[in-house]
Amino acid sequence: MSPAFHSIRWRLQAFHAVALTLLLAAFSVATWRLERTQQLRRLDADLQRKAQETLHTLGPQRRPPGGGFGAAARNDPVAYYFVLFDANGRVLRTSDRTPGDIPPPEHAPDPERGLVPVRQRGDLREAWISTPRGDRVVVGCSTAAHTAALRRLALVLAGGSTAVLLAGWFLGWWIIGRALRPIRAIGATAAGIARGDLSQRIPESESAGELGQLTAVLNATFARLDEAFAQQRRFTANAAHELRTPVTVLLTQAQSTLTRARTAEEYQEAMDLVVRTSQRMRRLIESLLELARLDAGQEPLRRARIDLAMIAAECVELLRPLADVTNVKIRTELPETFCEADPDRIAQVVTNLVANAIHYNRPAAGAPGDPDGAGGGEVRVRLSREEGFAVLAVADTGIGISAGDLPHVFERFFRADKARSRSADRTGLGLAIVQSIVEAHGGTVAVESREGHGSTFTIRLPG
Amino acid sequence: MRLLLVEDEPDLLASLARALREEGYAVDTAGDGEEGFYKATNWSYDAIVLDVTMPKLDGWTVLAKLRRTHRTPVLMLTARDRTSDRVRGLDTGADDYLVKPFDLPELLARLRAVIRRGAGRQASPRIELGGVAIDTAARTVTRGGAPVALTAREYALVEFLAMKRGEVVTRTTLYEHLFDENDETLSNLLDVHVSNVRKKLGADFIATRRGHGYVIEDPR
Repeated sequence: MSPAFHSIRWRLQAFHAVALTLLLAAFSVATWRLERTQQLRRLDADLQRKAQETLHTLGPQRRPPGGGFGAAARNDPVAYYFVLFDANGRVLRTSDRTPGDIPPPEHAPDPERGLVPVRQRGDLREAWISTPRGDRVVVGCSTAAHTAALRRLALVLAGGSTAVLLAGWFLGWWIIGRALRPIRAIGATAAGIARGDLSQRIPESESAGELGQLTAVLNATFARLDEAFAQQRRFTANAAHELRTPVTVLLTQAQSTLTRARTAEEYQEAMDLVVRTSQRMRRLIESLLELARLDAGQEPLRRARIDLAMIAAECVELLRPLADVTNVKIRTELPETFCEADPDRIAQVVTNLVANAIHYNRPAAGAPGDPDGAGGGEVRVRLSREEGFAVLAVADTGIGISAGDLPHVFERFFRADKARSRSADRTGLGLAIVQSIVEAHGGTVAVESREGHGSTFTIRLPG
Repeated sequence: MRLLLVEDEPDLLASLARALREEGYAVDTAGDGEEGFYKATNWSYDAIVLDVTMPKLDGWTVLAKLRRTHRTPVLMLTARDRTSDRVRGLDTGADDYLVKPFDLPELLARLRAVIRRGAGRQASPRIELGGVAIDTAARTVTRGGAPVALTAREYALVEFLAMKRGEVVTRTTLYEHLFDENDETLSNLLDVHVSNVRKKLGADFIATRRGHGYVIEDPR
């Protein structure tokens, strides 16, 4: 267990223990004091009543009262005694078993006023009433038993509290342990992931409520991490794989050419192939590096106020020779459309889209694959604005993309499974780069296509 | 020997086909798995060089389907080099497995080995037939120790019959295994080659069985 975990548990436990202790202590004290107050009140009420009775009974005759006073033991809680003092403090009458040395009380207020004073002398509690003549009757009893009862109560409260405290501590410890168990699970899983095993997940069954939410969020994060690494591994593997093929072509061609003496023409052809293949590898490598840079966010985009129309027009001009080769016409509709973007990167996007449109278009008139001899496809490049976005659409009249391939078209190295796809010029990364750049600008790219009729790629850039 | 080369990368297909033809093989080509499977099951080849990653039908599928009915030796070519892929290739029925990019001489040597094993009886690349010795690795023939100059076609004819020595091989079979889809089939071309070989290696080196075909007798 890590020290951090330890301290949470201990802190919770300590807080819980202190709180419980304080509460129980407060409760016990309050209860005890309440009981004592009640007791005294009862006792005082009794004494006062007795004092009243005694006064009335003694009356002018000073005769001894009835019940309650008698030969009961001194420590009997209901053994009362009385003493009658005259105005000068001389003892006139006492009951049996009166403890000695009872001092005369101070002058008491008028009984009609309702207040009967009480005093506590050690073990004895006494109340007194005076007559108008100045006589005073003191009635008292022993509080020893009451004190003992209170002590017993205190012990019971203390004992009970301690028991509850102990039970509470253990229960608390157990509950906190259980509640914090998911954190242990999380810690263990995170440690596993830090070691490199990205497939681990926190078991969901361990937690519910707030920890359950945390678990779900963490698991989702781990899954994304896992997927990100897997994607990177796939990308790297794919990249290496893609390079194997052109290298094989180079090696086979070169080794084969060297097996015997060749004519100058044959050497020429062989070298042409070498150049073509090397160029292909170069394009592939550049595309890969571009994607890697975009992925890593290493080269922040330049934000400049650019006119998409100008950029699009330049790209189209650069690609016109390519279009001419296959008799593809490029039509443009380029009104001035400003937005905030990186001009070089956007140029790349437009170039990739238009080059694709040219390449995957209908073949030239008379070429194989031109069924109606009409030949010469068309590429339309159109700019527009839509509610805060600059919109660029590149449409072609080409072979289109099947519904099955459509969702994958932006995946890296994806090539639609068609007879013409295995051409030496395609890296399979053009659209992946387009998507990467457009999304880095906060925009979106979408495609619509009908197999055999053509495709339209639409990008939306904010601003 | 007639080979089928199945590879979807056009430049590689062309280079490899040329290299193999220069080695004296008759080479048919296929640019995808479907075409490859079709040809493999419709003609008889001495060996097939099969790429793994192809559109329409990939190499694994072609191999698995082929193995249901044919025992043609297959050498798989692939850009996938994980051990699990090699194991899979060999377990699916490939006779050998080469990773791209490969060394061309190695490919040629493995191909020869695969063909030799497919023919069944060869342990060693050398075939001794009386005074004539054929080195299938070096693709040379000697008679009484002296090297004999043969054209590529003539050597192919000698090698084929020598590997099937003792068996009568029909003219049809010889056509099928010495010429590929790109050759014009003139029915007397074979006779010309047989006649030339007889001139160089002895009149009874290749015996004719009228109405059946040709045979090189097994001296043992």
